[in-house]
Amino acid sequence: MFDDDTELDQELSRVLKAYAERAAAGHQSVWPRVQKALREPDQRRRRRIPRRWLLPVILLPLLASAGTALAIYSHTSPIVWIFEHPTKPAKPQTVHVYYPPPESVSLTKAADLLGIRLPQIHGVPQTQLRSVVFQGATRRDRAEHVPSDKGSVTLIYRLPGQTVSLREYHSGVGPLVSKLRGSVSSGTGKFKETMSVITVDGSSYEIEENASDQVLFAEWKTLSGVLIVLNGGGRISTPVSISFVTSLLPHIH
Amino acid sequence: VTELEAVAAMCAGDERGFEELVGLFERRAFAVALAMTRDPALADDVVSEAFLRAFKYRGRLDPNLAFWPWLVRIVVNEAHTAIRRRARRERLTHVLIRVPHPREDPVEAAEENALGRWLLAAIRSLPAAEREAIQLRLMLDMDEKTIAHTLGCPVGTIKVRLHRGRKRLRARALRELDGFLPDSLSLGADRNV
Repeated sequence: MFDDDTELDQELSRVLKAYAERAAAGHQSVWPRVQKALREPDQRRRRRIPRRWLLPVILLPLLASAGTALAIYSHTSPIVWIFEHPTKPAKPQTVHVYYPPPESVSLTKAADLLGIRLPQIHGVPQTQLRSVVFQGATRRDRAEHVPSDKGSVTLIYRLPGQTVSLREYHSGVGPLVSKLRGSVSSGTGKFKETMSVITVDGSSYEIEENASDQVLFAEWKTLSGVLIVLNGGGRISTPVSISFVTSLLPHIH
Repeated sequence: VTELEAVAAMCAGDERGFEELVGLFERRAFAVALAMTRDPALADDVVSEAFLRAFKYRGRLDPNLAFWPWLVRIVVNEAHTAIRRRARRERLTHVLIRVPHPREDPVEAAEENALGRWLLAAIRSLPAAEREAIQLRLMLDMDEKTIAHTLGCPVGTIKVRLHRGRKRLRARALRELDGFLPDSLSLGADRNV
């Protein structure tokens, strides 16, 4: 069947012409429609979405995307915060960046996301990275953000898969972090003994020697904000309160 | 009123000149729109919109030139837009309310010859570019050069499309019809020529 184009063309032509004839038989002049449309203002001719489409086409997708966003939000723990530089209290905005909790976030990745330049943590000269690594941090990160005039910026990083335990108590007024007692090995960053951190509002954090987790407090004077990264996957199961320590003293120990 | 007079009148904003042109070219425009869309109702919409656009952009038309070559490009563009919109709508309705698609075309269903119905369905299943070329060629008897001008592509492209479309149809016929031809599908059984 249809061994050559001629036979196929003949048959197709016959069928298509018959189709066109039938279609043309029911065709009426479009002039009345055109004329009517010409006389209507342009706004009236603008296509409107029929009301019957309102629910399925507009509202349902909107609700669905809102629900999806809500679901993502509710299943996501806040793990990255960036605070304004303490010397710029006029801009106290806080930027929240959310990550899925199971995902480890490297400091580099977080910095990339936040659009900041980040010095290397590991392998950088100690003179540039005046930081200590100590064990323990906090599960009750409820210290209020208090602007500091120190002009220093601190990077706090909790290593992936590790938890934090910092005991918090209040004891008068002081710098944001006035002291951090204790010592760590500068080479390995391992915690040696119990340390305490006293914040400017008097909050003090004691870092327990036997805590199993590590937090890296890295001071970086050129950083324009304070980045606090509390990585997911640890024992912090509830969203931590918004503010934590915003700045540490230049000399941590 | 000649075509050129009507064009000049339309270009001057005269609605009566435009009406003349609608009367002169409406059926040809409908035939092209039908060949493009294979949907009489949609072809009507396409023609209306095309004429409206022609009137709206009449300032771009040279009154000394023929009206049809300019109009047919508008018709083709409108047809493409309408086809895209129809496909989008059908996909959406299929997803949202499970309406089967494509819906049956009553004009197509009126084809009494079973082979004719098979051919119409087979053409519909071709890729859009090949389907358009074949329909313009065989429904309107356009030559390849005219099709190329109408669709705005080189003649070689049209030749390729026609060739590929025919090849596809022959292959499908071989697969579905050859050796399994019920009487009702045979070429001479109930042909209405």
